[in-house]
Amino acid sequence: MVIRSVLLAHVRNHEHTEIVCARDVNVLSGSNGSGKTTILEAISLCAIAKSFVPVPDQALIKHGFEDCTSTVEALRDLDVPYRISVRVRNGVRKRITTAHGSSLTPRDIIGELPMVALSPDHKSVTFGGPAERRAFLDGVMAQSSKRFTELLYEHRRLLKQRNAALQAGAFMHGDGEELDVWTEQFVLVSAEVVERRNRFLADVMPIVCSAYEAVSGSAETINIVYQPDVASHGTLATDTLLSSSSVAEAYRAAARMLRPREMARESTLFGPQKDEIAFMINGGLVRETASQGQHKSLLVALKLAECELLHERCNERPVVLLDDVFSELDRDRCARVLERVLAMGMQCFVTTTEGETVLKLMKEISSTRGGNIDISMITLEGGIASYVQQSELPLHQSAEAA
Amino acid sequence: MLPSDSIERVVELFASLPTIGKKTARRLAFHVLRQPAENVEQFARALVDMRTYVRECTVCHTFTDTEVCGICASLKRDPHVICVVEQPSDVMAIERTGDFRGLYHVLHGALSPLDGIGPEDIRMRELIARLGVDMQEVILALNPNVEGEVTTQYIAKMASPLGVKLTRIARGVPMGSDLEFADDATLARAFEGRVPV
Ligand SMILES: [Zn+2]
Repeated sequence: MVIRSVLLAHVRNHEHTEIVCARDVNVLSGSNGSGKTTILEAISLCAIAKSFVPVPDQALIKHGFEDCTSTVEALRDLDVPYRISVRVRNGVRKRITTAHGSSLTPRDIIGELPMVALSPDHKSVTFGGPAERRAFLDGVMAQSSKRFTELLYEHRRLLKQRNAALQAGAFMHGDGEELDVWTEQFVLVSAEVVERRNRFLADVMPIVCSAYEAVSGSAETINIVYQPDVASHGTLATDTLLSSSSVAEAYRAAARMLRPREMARESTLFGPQKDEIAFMINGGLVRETASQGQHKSLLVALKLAECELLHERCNERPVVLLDDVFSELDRDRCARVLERVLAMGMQCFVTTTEGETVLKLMKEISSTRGGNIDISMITLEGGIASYVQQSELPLHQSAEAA
Repeated sequence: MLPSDSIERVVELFASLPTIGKKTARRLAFHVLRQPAENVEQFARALVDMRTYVRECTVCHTFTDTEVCGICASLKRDPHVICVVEQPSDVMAIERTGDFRGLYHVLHGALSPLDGIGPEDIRMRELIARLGVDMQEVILALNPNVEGEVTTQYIAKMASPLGVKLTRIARGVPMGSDLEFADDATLARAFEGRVPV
């Protein structure tokens, strides 16, 4: 996918901004609060129906306005145009419009415009708790499979309903048949989530390993160990594959065992919402033993692996958003990330406070690739974008730029 | 804003209806204003009559003007096959396909603990009572979402001691949407592809 233009109306401090995009690299330069990251958020809104950082949707609306809209015009890898518009309003469901309709749900569009974002906030993937790692994994899987997106929604809904049923437990009639039915559906959907997570992690492992090697330039061994909650209740037969039927069986046994405690706590005590995904380097847990440099390399490797995977699964090159990564990563890692992304033919958007430095870096990368990179530099100030004259760019422009 | 409180009030009332926004509400209000007075009176009377005279059919619980609805009273329909749906509007949707010749049972909802809806809050007891009597097939056609699915499984559980044949419509209907909004062809296909629960 290549984004041709992004239109922001009342998004954060942007009153009305249109960005016409370059094929390969778009450098968005400006000081803090200039509105450069907002452009990435607007793209994210059109790709995954929310910002790539955890903020409430309402935060995207410019102060004093009732709604905000982001519109992206893009071209699929097969040269078919794709247009999407997402409008956020206070207290109302988002309005998502594509050629397929004007009242679409996030489920309908996630994965259509595959996107990989890397921002300082994503440090929590390797530093933070299991919830952050699950959110990362679920995000990648949702973009690569419509069925998984549906499963996530079903799982979340069933979990809420089952908790409500447990809370109402004391007042429920009959002998728990209703709770049994909620439990069984929750078990079935949960088991499918576990089977898919397990299979996905097995597929993604070699890609992460090779990406890590490329980023760190070292031969450390990376391992991703899936630790599903289902294995922690003593009900999963040892040495079984994590198939949905064996997992469902184990969940059913766990549910029977946990029932009295669940009734007392009025809450569900098993399920994939408790899974952990452990990252290891050289056999040690990343969270406990990794150096700052290893953390950074691993995060970058995960994101590069995400690029490769989404390309393969969606049959579409993802758009890559690099938010302020130059302040976090050293120059070498930055250069390797950009080289890999360009080598994979993916369009990227880079925000930075030092536009000139990034341009210089791009110039070096470009020269090693025959100067054939379409690049555009946009400076931002107070939510207003201005283009640096193309002729001022110290780079060769490909014919495609016009 | 508007120079008339009466208009403002009607706009607000229209806007309180599902799928009607402020803009459409205003257009409707002005449209009504341009109609002859007797047409508007008829319209208002029709609304009041509907609310006054429409009640639930004592057999299938769909909305009707009479004690037993036209479908339940018809001699051309097969009383040994019933189709279970969530809403009266689903009955209308299935009737539009013209393929189904049995009777209906309207639950008026689906199980949803989050909304405080249990089996006692929908027409579940009435459904189970109908199943015992000489029934060849019960087709479950609830909405394809988690609440519809769980309600389907709950009915299956309650009906299993009765030995009645239960089927469900195939998942031809897209997930996450309401049955009444599915197009006729999709619904007809879903009926053809129904499978045992
Ligand atoms: Zn009836």
